[in-house]
Amino acid sequence: MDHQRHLEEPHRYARREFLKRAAAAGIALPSLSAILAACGGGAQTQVGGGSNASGSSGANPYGTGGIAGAPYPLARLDAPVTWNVDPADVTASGQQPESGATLKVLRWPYYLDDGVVKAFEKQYHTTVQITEFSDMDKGLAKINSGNGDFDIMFGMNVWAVGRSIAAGLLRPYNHDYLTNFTNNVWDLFQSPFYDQGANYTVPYSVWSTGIFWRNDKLSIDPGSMANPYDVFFDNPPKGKTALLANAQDVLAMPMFHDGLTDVNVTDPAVITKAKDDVAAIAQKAGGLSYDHVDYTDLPAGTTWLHQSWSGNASDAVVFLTNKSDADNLSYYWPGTDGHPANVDNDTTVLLKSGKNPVLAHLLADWVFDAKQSLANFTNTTGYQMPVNSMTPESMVSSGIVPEHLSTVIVSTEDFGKGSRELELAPDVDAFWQSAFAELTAGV
Amino acid sequence: MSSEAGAAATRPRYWPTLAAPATIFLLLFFVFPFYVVLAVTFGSIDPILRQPVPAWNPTTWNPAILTFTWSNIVHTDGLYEAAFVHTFVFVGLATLLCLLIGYPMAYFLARRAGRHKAAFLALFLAPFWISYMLRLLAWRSLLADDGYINRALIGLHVIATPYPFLQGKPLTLVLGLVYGYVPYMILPLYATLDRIPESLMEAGRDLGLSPARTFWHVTLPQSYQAILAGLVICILPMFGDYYTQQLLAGRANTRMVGNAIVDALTQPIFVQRGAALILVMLVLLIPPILYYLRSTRRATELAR
Repeated sequence: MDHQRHLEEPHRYARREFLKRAAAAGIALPSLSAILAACGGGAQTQVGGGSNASGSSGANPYGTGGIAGAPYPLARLDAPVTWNVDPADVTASGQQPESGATLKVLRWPYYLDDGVVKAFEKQYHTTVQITEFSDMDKGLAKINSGNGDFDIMFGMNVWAVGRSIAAGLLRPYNHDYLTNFTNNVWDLFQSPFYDQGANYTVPYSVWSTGIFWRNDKLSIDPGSMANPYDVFFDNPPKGKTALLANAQDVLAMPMFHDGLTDVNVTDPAVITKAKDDVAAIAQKAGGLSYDHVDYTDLPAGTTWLHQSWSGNASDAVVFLTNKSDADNLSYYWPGTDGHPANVDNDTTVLLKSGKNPVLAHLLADWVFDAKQSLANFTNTTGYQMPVNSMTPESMVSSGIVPEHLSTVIVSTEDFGKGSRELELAPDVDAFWQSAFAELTAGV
Repeated sequence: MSSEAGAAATRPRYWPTLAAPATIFLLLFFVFPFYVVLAVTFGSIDPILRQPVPAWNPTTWNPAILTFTWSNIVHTDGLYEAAFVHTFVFVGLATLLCLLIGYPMAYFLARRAGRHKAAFLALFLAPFWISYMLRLLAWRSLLADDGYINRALIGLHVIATPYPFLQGKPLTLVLGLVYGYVPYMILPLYATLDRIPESLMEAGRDLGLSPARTFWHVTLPQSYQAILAGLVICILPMFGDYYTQQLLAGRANTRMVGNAIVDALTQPIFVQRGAALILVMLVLLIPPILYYLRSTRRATELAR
């Protein structure tokens, strides 16, 4: 079998590929030793300084725990990170919200409901000024520029947390201001592996990465298949198949297909095989689209089969011309039946540049109020917050989510079943990104 | 003293200051951004935030990324080779079609539309009052599987199942480019053809030329500069176009350089590659621009 042949000869291929891509990325300086190691013994196939739990970084100027590979610890489920906190940066307890202030908020487009914000403004007699960023890196660039005095950011990806702390951009939380967080949010986020003690982060949205399809066009049932990912491999609809538009989601999918549960891999042979698998899918599907517009393309019929985030699948219902057509949309998360699959969350962080730390705390906490989190999900984002009041049962019984799409709701148990796509060491990340760039370039 | 030198001597001294706004504009919006592109290309990546760090001092410039990018353009199966090939083929075809469609159209408007000239011109330009992006979105609806075009073709029994216009079809992309840029070909041609004196045509005919030979020996040479201008005005933006491919094709087999640049710029560790691609494109486009400028100058000198 093709897959086996690749796995049987990883070393020769891996080293050549690795050198090509790592050199191409031009960011390998932090781990030059890793490049030399990869060039050395024939058995060495790992890119980077070791992205596995055994390579724990121990103490670090920025925190303890995690694994090595970057100037700061890289968090893993089995190697959690506790970030250092300078007490001088923590907002003192018992302060009143800043009066007459303008709270400066950063968010992804449409990723915080205006009604929720208006209610906050009314409650605290303040003004909220929203600035949007179109992707996480642009968001980081905004807060790193030193302009804008931003107070709070909604939707910081977990992979961006460590580097933001190391760059001195984040303000630690004072949990005295976070009553909704303490009372309403899932236990697992009270001290997540990527930020033990939740010193710098509170969660914002949760989602799973699964299979989204038009059941009126395709007679498939991934849930009944021995390997649900075969829907992409076996007979992808020609010209109607799409994957997400980022390296980790796209390349993790064939890895999940092969049974890997930890997809934060450093082995060039595994990454290259994943790339080749996706290229083979593209060949079968008559070309693949890599995009994040599944929520419009499936309702429009432009795409029939899409690797999707549950939040986008939830959003798609909004874009149907005829709401009864929601019956034609199906979403399946392979983790439901114990198959390897991704489940994820992003975070809300306070920014050191902000002038209104108390109000920023209060807004971060405001969205965890049961009423506000529901409004945020229903009216705008389509992305669920990890609050106890949002369950598949409650969302279906209240008519917010169609029963057959209750699979888009993530539960706290799903985080026990699913895998996480986490921050990679710079040179490993470059290797992943180069592989994905080759896919989008069709080479 | 020559007449030109005399004219210069009598020219008011404040005249050069009239160029100040344009000069400042160019410095701010071309020269400085261009230097930023250079500084990013030859800069580095921040090890913590993994974002590009421009190298403002030219003595510290590192050419590694430019070399890598260039090698991936010129080598078979390089990361950007296909994008460059696609771009040259699609832009070449689209420009040729723009000329073949645009010239007769401009000729008709300028010389045959008579007193309805203004009305025809307004009708022709009306669709272009709407943004190109919106028009492309409209085309997406029209060309979708369940769009009007597929429905019509199926209704007329031309095809049995919907034709996947929007799934990486080079034809759709080329026609999209033609649709978007043909006005830029027509307008300079119209302006020139409209100004050719009728007496020149009459002279040709008086000398015994047939209408076709009059066109070949009189009209076409007279409109040569306009053709060049139309080609340059069409080709330059087409080379940087990325949204036509994104909206009408969206697959790797139709990816153009503009798409490669956008892809690189959206991934911070590859921003330097995007900047390098911009530099390469700029260098590749300089010769046709220089040719156009030289040709225009020569034509102006001949006309004196």
